[in-house]
Amino acid sequence: MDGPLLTYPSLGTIHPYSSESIGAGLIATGGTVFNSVASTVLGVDVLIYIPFSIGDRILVKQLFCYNGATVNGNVDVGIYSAIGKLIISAGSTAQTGASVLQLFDIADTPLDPGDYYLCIGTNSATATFFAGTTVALTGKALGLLQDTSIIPLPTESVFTTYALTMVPIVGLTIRTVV
Amino acid sequence: MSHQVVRVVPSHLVTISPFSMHSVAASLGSIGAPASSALGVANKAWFIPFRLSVPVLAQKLSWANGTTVNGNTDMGIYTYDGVRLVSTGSTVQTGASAIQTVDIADTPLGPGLYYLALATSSSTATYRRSTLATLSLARVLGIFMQLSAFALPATATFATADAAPYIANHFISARTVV
Repeated sequence: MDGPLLTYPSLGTIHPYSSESIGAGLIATGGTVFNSVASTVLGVDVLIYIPFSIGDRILVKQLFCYNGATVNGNVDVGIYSAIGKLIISAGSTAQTGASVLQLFDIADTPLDPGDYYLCIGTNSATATFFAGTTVALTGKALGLLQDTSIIPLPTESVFTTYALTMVPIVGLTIRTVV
Repeated sequence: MSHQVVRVVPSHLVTISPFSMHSVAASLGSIGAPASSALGVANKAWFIPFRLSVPVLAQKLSWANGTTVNGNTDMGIYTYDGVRLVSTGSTVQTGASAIQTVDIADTPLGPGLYYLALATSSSTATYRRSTLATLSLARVLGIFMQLSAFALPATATFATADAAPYIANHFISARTVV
């Protein structure tokens, strides 16, 4: 049997409501609880970065987003390093499947312990995604960032101050079945 | 003054359930009090992830019965790879609105990712359980299911959740007193 770990291992998926991300902060500050996320317009020409930290090495096999009731245009999801370097992304992909998870099979990507960002963007002004809500000031405190770049996700992000109120459900999994 | 760090992550509580910090509770926030209701489909097993940072000796498995007891229940612990480590075996559900506990062979669990499994042979048996708002949210949390999985199989085939995602109040105890 292995000895004690200095952190909890991942539960298999990481998303904004994970303990590895900002879930506790969202709930503590009166943001939408996980079970009440709702279909929300993300907005065009904006990328949202959601921080997460891992203490164990993981192998990311798929990315996902939770599409809302209206799907339209293309979506891109990815993972960035703490300094804004793109590590892996799905590439611009038609948004398909209303009110379901959309999975993106990516090259298996190892992540070492550290800080990262989940990122999502769309080229549609009407495409919706299930999302929690916060307020901009709280979002800043939780470490959310945004970027006015367009998809496909850029190789280097241009982090700007978070001025939104939504936290879309985007995530990663270490499994091939979700 | 000198300090010796002996443990960074807090030690585990004596019980581990889906509502523990070791499992999906951190993401759930408020999901409401578990209420008496059927799990939905007979012979369907639900697998809910949990993680350990320190070794735990599982000594008993318990679940909270609802107002109607019927048929048999099986509860177990599985590895990340779907190997059953221990289970109660098919057990007559007894004791309405009460915790039902089964003594198991003391089972050491090292640090890592595991799954709590619960299945019933009855479509009318009730348990104290909470309900996720959508099927997709269960997938985001890394919850799996398996049909025709009563009694719990030696090796699970984790499949995508296909219906109402219930989170029953069931737990591992690291004590002999529950």
